[in-house]
Amino acid sequence: MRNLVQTIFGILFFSSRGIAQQIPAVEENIPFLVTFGNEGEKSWGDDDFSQTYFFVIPKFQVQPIYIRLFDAETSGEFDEKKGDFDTKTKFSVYGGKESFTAKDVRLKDPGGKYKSGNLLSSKTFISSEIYDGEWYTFGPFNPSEGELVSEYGGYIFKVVAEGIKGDDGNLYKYFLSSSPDENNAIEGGNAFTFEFTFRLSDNINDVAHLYPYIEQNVYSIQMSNFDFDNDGDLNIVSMAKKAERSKVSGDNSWADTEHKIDEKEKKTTLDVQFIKNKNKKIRNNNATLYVTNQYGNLLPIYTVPIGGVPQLNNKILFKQKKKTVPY
Amino acid sequence: MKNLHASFISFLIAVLFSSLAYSQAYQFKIYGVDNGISQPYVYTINQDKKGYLWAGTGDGVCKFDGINFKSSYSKDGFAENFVTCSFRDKADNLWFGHNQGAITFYDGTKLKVMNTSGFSKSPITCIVSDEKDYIWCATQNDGIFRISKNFEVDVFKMEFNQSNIYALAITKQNQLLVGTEEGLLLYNLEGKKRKPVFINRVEVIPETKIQCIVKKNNSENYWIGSEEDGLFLLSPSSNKKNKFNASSIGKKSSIPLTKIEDIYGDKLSNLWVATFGNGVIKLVLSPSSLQYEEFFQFSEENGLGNKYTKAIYSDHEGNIWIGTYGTGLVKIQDNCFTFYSHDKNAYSNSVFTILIDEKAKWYGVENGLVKINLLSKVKWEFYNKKNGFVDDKVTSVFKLDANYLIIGTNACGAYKMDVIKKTFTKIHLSDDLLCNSINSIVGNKNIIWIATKGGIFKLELNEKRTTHFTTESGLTHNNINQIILGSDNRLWIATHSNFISYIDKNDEIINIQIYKGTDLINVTAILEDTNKNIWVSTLGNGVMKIKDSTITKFTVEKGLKSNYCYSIIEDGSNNIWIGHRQGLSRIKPDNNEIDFFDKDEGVMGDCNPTATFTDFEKYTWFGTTMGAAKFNPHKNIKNLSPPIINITSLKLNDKEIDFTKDTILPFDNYRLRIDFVGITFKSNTHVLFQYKLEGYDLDWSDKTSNSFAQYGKLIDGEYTFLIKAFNNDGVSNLLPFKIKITIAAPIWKRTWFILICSALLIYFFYFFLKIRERNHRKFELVLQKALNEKTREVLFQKEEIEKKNKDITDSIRYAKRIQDAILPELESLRKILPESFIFFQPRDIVSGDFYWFHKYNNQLIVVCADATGHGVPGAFMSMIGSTLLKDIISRKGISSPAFALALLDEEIKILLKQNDGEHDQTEDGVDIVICEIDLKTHFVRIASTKRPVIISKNKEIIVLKKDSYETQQYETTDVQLSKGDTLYLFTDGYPDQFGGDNGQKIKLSKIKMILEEIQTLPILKQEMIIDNYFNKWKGGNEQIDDVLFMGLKL
Repeated sequence: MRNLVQTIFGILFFSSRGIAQQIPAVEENIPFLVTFGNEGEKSWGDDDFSQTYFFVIPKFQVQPIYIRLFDAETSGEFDEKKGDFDTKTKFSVYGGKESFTAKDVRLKDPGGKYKSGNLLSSKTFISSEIYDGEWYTFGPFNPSEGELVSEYGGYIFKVVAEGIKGDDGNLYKYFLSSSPDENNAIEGGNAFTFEFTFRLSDNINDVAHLYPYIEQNVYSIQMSNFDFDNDGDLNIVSMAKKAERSKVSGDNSWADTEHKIDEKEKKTTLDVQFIKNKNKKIRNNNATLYVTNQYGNLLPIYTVPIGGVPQLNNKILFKQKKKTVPY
Repeated sequence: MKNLHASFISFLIAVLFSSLAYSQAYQFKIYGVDNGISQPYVYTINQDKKGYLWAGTGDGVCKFDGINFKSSYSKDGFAENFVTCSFRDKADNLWFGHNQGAITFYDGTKLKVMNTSGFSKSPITCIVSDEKDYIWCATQNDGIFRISKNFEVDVFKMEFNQSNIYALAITKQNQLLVGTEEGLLLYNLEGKKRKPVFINRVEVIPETKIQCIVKKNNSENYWIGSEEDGLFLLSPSSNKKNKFNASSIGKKSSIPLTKIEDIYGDKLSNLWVATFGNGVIKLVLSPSSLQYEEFFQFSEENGLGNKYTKAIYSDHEGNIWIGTYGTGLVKIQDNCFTFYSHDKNAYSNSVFTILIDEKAKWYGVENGLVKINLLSKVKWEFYNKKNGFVDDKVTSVFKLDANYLIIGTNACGAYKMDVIKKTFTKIHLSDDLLCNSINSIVGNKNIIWIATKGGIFKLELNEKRTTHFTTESGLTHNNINQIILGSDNRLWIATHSNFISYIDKNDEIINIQIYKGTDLINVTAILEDTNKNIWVSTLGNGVMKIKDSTITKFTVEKGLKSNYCYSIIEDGSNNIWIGHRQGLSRIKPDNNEIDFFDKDEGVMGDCNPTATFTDFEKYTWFGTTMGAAKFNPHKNIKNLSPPIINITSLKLNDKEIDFTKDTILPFDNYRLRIDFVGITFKSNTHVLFQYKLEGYDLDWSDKTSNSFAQYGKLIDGEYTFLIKAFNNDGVSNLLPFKIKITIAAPIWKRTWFILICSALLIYFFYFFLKIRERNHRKFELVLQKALNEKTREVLFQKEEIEKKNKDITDSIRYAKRIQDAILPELESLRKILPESFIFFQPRDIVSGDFYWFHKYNNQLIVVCADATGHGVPGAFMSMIGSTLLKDIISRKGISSPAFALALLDEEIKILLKQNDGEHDQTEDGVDIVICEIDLKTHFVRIASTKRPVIISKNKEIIVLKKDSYETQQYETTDVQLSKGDTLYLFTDGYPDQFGGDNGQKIKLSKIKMILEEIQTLPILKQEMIIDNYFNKWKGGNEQIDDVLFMGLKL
């Protein structure tokens, strides 16, 4: 287990160096995350009108951290309009005990105590020119206000985005930053989710990449995607799989595919590729994806850093960075 | 075109600098991780009963004593590392709320962790107490729980319907005001358990996240701080139950009151609001309108270091503390100094001269002249080479009139500036470089005095005449550090010499020696105070006050911060200020007390030479290397709070012991070390201590900054360690802090031991006595037995002796009868001389003295004799003498008493064989007086051996005495007496008798004196007196010899 943690942390830390912590990452070829108002239609791609993201801050981080949110409101060119813009999206940042480790946090659909932990900050956004195409910053946060989960290498902050009113699609991005005013990556920080609702690129040549992490005890996974509108192929690329196909979901439906995990794939990330159908030219397509293991437990999908198809090197050791003073 | 170009540059510069503020910097003391704080995120601040300041952070609790921080964690007894809030209850105990719902209680000595794991997992957001001293703890997600005095807990979770609670207050009506994400909720406390029952939301407060509820001082009103909607004052409605009135604070004034985290109302009812994003806002209550109209914002821009603040607190001294989110703990230094500085990239912050009037502030800096307009929109102007001035250090500015300034530079000479036209004209003094290095300028409308490194120039404007004073004119040095215009139009001069000088109205230079050492001092600045005393500051020799011919010196020993002084000025309260590097000293002339101000008061820069100024508001300004500092005497309030004293360590023989209670130690010799702290958060480095160990020290120690005391050897006894701590203003606690140390007496000094020993001693003594007594009794018995035997023997012997004594006495008595029979009858004498007496008192039964008389024809022979010895031998001798006399006198041919005496001597020698060489020579003999009295003619012939004869004749006492007793020639003394004259004859027994008061002899003189008194008395009366006198004189003394005293009245 210890090796696993070291490995995870090692991969993440090593991979993160010099990489901007934008979510979704540029390399994912995913332009935005999407959350619809709770009066929206699931057939537009969001199965539950909620998206939860987790940000991991390394233990040695002392300086305050900021979670920046791009285009938090629902209006303007980036968001998906249905009728008039009338959607309210509430973003809440949680930390503290059980904000991540509570059971309900790993549910596919929001329910139970999925908002567990201490509410550190929240803000509800309606249509507003102020935030349209602009960055809004949550924080500063004392890293130690997150929940310390050693297995994940530091303090975890949870950000829940909920569409609490309306039927429009709110498209947004996150950035885990060390600055309130600009996007400065936090060294060693990372982010993941268990269910990913996102906007696919309109460019038919773009391939979206998602990277679920395969833990040591995973023997098989189930890949579940929602509302892909049969817009192309869904392939898995890994050290053992060259392009293993998964079922592709249609409009407002789920498609589940089980895949066996090879030994070589353990402790690596899979490269789940959404390959658009170049003939259909579907635009503004939103989809949802989650991956579970053989027990039905959700696997984390890391967006920061991008895992890619890793070449593991267990010999890589990481020395903890010395604490620094913020000012 | 050229002018246009210059104007354009000036405009650009003006525009550029108008955006740069020569900003007032509030003074903050920031305590971050480098200062020992465990984490820079401070969520709560509190002060315990011992005066320590506690800062709760996200990773540990930091205890601050004014100098050092000590961090504590869960391993040290806290429930968690993360502290979210704190509360000081009525008993001055501290309660800490933690991030995961735990509570830590601190009574000033020990920590106690409350077990809340079963019901509280989310952050404790607020802790308050009610009138029954129950502690109420609000949690963010888990409702509220209540702790009794016995630490029993009642949990109220369901009552709050999963609301996120951020603030809590208990009203006088015993209701709960609960700050939640959905606004302010009101709860009743009902039933025995005082269970919270929801009443309603307080509608006058918006449905917004309420972050803090703070009771307004001495009222029933509450300050309500919200996240988004600002600050409210909530007051209960006077007529409607459960209703409130609310007023929004500061909205009209656009005060940036959002994300309010904490509120503090100070004594003056000003509000201090900690915000998350806007720093700390101080709302100043207007005394006239009683509204909060003015505000100050303390944020990153003016030195707070962080605009995200979580807590605000005021300690016992009134210092304001801010808990920041990322910068640590911050103290606002609301002191008497205000510091002005600017972006040092624009130009130097080092201020060399200051001039302030109602319209502008002028600062001479390293590379030019700064003007700050106080009235116009364009605040800033900077003059250097670019706008007609020079790129040089401006060392002095003198206001000639409303339109002109005279400006002195370090290397480019003096300039006249037209303030209106903003033009500069060079004043030509000399071509010499030193004469163009200006140090000081003073003057009036007509005369300007310019002090340079090459002497002094006097510019008489009306006469257009310049006079140059140098050493040739009588100055003691050409480098003139400062000049001032004093009374009587004297120009006082500070220069590098042992003199101060002045130029009088006749341009005469007068030098006054102020230092008589062999070295040279450097007088850096000079001042004439209100009382016309001259003060000078020196480099290395402190400050001197010259009054008449008396010089008073102030140095480090007297409290000056440094002996290196660069500037001197008098403030509006007549105090004298001295500028040093990184500090200022202040001398109070009334009592010559000195205090100083340094980094604790924010004086960080070095004071530049002579850079001082007193403005029109009587504020005193100092130019330093880090900007200008303004002293406001109104803010210089004496700190009346003495430091709070605490013992931090007590070591005996280098071993730490518990000092929280009186210390009682077993007997030993102890080395004692006591460490203590005097907690003050104002100028904490200036705390002085005085201590005394009662039972050891006779007097208090001298004041010292050392925070420990050591004692070498303490023996048994009771000691009380007393400490006094003095703050920066010399204020100490009235009653000293005490700690008692008792070192037990050794066993031999303890009462019980002494009592036991005494009892044992008494017992042993008693035992010894008893044994001794028993032995004595035994010995006594033996002795008694022996004694009885001896007594019997003695009694037997006594009887024998008594028998023998009786025999002897009887013999002697019989011998006395014989002697008496031999001695003639007194009656026979009285028949011849009726007026006569014989006082005869032998020492023993028989006498060695004897008398004899015989009448033949008309002659009466009277003998008064004293044979050698007394008792039986004397009696024998008297018998011999008497017999021989009778025989001699009866012989014929005895022609004179002397002849009879010679015969007697001869006869005795023959009789006692004193001439026989074969026999032992004896000294036996007779002292004798023989008188032959012719009864008809009263012619008396007297022969005497060694004995005097006294004659009373015509009431006169005549002593006939042989001059030398050594001669053996017996002579007859013839005396013609008359009828009525008295002869007194006596042996030596009378005069030689010891007695009287001093144990002396009677002596002849006393006999003579007696006889002088009694010679006229009847003879029998005389006899009685002589008898009485003798026996009275003798008293208890033993009679030493036989006594014979004869009185014969013719």
